[in-house]
Amino acid sequence: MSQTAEMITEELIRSLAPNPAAINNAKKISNTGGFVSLFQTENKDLIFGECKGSGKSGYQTSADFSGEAPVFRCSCPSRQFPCKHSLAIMFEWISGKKFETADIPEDVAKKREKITKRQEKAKEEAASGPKKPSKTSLSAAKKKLEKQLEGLELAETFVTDILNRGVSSINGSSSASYKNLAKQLGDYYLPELQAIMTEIITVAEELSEHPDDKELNRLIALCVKLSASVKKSKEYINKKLENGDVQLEDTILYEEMGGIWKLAQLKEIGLFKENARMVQLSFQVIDDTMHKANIETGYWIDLDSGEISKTENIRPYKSAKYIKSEDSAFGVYQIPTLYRYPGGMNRRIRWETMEQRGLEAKDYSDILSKAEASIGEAVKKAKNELKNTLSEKVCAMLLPFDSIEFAVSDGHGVLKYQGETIGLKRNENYPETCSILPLEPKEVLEHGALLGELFYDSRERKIYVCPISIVKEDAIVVLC
Amino acid sequence: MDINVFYELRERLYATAAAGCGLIAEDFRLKRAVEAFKPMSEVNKVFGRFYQMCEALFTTENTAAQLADCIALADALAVTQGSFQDVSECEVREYELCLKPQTISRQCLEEVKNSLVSGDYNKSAFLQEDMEKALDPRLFPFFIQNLYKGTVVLESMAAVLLPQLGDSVIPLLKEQVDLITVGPKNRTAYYVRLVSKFYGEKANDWYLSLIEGEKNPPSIRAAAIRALACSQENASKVLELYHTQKGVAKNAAALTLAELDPPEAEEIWIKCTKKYKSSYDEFIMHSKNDICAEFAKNEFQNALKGCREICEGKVNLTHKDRIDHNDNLERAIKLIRRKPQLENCFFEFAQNYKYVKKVANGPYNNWQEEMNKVLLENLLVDDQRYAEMIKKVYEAYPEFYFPARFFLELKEKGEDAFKEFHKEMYHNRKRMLSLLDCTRYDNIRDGYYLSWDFLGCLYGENQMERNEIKIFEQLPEIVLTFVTDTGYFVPGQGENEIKMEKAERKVHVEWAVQVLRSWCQDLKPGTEEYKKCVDAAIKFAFQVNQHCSIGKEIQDIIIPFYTEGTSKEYRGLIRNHIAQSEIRKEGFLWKINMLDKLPMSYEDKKEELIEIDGMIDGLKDVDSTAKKRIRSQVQELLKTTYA
Repeated sequence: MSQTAEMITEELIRSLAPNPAAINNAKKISNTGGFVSLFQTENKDLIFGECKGSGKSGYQTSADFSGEAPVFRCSCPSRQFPCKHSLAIMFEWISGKKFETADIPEDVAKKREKITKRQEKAKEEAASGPKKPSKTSLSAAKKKLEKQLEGLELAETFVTDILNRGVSSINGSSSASYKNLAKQLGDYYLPELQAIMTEIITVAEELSEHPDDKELNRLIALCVKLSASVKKSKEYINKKLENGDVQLEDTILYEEMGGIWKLAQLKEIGLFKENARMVQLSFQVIDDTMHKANIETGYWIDLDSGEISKTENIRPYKSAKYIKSEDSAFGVYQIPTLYRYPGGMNRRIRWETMEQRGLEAKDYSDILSKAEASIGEAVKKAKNELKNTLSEKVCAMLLPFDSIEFAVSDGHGVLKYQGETIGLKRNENYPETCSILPLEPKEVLEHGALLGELFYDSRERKIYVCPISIVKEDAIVVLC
Repeated sequence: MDINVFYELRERLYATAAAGCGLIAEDFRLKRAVEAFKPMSEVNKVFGRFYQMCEALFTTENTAAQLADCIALADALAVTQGSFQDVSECEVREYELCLKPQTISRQCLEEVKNSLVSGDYNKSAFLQEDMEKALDPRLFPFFIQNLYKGTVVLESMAAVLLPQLGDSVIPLLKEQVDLITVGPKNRTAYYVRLVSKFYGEKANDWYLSLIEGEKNPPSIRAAAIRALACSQENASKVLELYHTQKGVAKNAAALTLAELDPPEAEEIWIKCTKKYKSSYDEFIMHSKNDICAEFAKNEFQNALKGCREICEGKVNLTHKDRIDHNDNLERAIKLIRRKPQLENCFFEFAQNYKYVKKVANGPYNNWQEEMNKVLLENLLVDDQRYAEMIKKVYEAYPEFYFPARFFLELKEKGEDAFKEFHKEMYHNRKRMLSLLDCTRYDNIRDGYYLSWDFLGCLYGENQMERNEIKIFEQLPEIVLTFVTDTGYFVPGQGENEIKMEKAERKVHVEWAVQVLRSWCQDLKPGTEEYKKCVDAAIKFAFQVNQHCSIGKEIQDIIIPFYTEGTSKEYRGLIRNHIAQSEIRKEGFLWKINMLDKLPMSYEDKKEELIEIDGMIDGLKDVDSTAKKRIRSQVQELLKTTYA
């Protein structure tokens, strides 16, 4: 469906910008008269112009709205997409600057033509149905599994050696040889296991300089996780190789070994839902030091099933600048095809297209009705999830409450519902929400549902909830 | 069932993993823990399996894998055994703040946080409508935690928010006081000062408790002692502290006593003035006491006498003497602060100014303005005696004390002051422009406030008073007309035509451009106030460009604010600038570079350069060498960038 530049709004620009700095830079360009010339096509489906740059000649920038999604082109060398000049030309448009009418530049016309051809080809392929895997791809998949098996042996040697010597004994010389081993694993398509190994070495090195019981236990837990992953992955691969079935299936092991799912693959193995209605309950940027990335995590609730899922936008530190950052989402997302990753309670979800509408009173009551029946039942479900070595150490659930109160002794929060209680405690993902909770107006802390991450505190031998957001009859109060 | 044996076994497994399982056969503690767990193995199947796995640790060949499996199962069992009920005694909530959750995205939250601490006070900074966002509980702790950074935005917000939030915010402010680490910029002491500023006596017990803690950081104790100035009832306690404490605490007690001025402290002032040390200057400066005032008066008169004697030829003046006189005078002016009984000093200074000017006239000292600053700073304290003093000294020396008198009028009557002193404003144009240059539009409180720059960092104590003085809500027409007056450079225009030397004219124009630029930057685009200010600024900038261009009018006003101008409208600006300014004294290339910054098309810029090339020969007052240099630069550009 073709659109025009009339659709440009500040919200649209913000949603397209890769990061807030790009918006500020674009505004600066626009405010300081960065554009030397501005043009629009007669039907306003393309705006283009020349922007001053640091070089001798200016940059040719355009925003093309002729396709389903806007296309931005710029002759600047930036790797950010869209670049600040593309965003700036849109700011020029909304600020009401004068755009002279002109014909489509030749290079843009050629690029448009290419896009049309590519789309037609994709349509034809889609119409002919899913492709059967070729012999070559089957044999490649088999080879990959065999290679992974070799890598798993290497990882096993690593973890066995560490546990035999003792995790506290990792020192300068041994850590160098372990690092070498971890580096070698890069050749065996096992990036996730490699990340765990690198983390083990990093934590061990830190521990040798600054001993800390909590970190020591984390290090042991990492070794146990690595050992379990190796064991289960070996079983999984051996079984697949024995059966001759090398295709993907619904298991978290694929990701545990570092595999990356494509949406088409998820659809092939039936991990999708049609016409889903989703509402975001929270959005947070989590610093994942092990993977050296910021993970923009959103918790979503399915208005029909009540399932709590999550979106994850992974932005590695090194390339964060070039990956578009996500932001909080408001309203109901009506998603034609919702793709679900293999997993347990809070599966990762993704989608390609969606339509958005505002939240209505019924939506809030629908969300509230999907809260767990009791704290006890929620804890039982959480325990089932948390006890799995390979699963995440937290699980997000919607807990109903009559009130949230605060302990007289130390001020920690306590969630109360129908005679049951559970303590609120901060975790690494949401370090500030517990201190924000007491600042909320009184009415927010009475009768509602709390989205929180349940986790096990091994020191206190208790299950706690880390609060994330509160759902009321007319609002979602986000604490992060 | 004693579940502790399970946890002990789990702990032993972790210990074995830490120490290594190579010698597990000799690990008797683990063996004992496994044995102790044996009875539990009959409780259920999972415990039974766990026991068997642990037992196998001593027989299996692959101990490491077995140990990992045991720990994995132990962890899973620990999770299933975890309790969740919390039986703590509870209360409904802690604070009663009027905060309100907002529906704002995370990115927006981050932007607001950045603008809070960036210190930027221009268009992109925090605006009044952002105040609501700041009331979001997610932002509030950030706001409180960062207040000590003292950005203009944070302080404006604090001035609005803290009184609004009431006493319930005191516990939050107190929480920021870390009794172990003082933190950057003496962060902790800042919060003590903040509580004392906004809540004064209400937190008296808290100040006392901070003072009592002998091990508390000295800066916190000192800040708490200074906070005792909130009540006269603290006088005896402060006196006691003065006699019992040492170092910064004793100094703080002396300063507090200077402010409280109890009769019992008189002997301290007698001692300070009789056995004078330079370190006592600060107490004397803070004190209103007659003994201190008498001392300050003598020092002041001695400094003036010194100047007079030099001028009358009684003393020979070396370079070092000049520096000493500057220092003496500077110190004497500081000493007469906060002493309403010393109005004679101001008369004497004006009388002796001709000597002062000759003797103590260092490049950075404008003594006339320094005296005005003392008067102005006194106005921060709400004491009518200072106002009376200003009126009297102004009556006797209107030109000398005009800034203080005008400011007093502003404080008392707001923008009507401009009508009252309309004629004097034009007469004191430079001083008025320098005063207006220190007014900033505060987007949070919607109004023009006199900024800290005006009082300068002279005494370093009034950080919390900065931006407290509202000058006017909207820019009065009379002020805008005054700033954009062209009478002194366009013959026959403007309200009061004044003849001025070229160099002086340039200074005045520069001030005016600076004032207009800062207002335009502070105001929010799209508002009536912004439009009014920007329109006047642009009109003024074009007039300046035509008659006495300084280049800044293009750079500071036309380029950033004349956003709707077409390429053609920018033509001639640089040419005028070159024709109007003194080329030999200023870098020509800089002027040409400005052409590059103008939002003009390539062709227009090229044509403009060709025209500049054509006008070089006709430039008056430019020697042939300079003309040659200009021409070679223009032609170089025409050959390269604009080829």
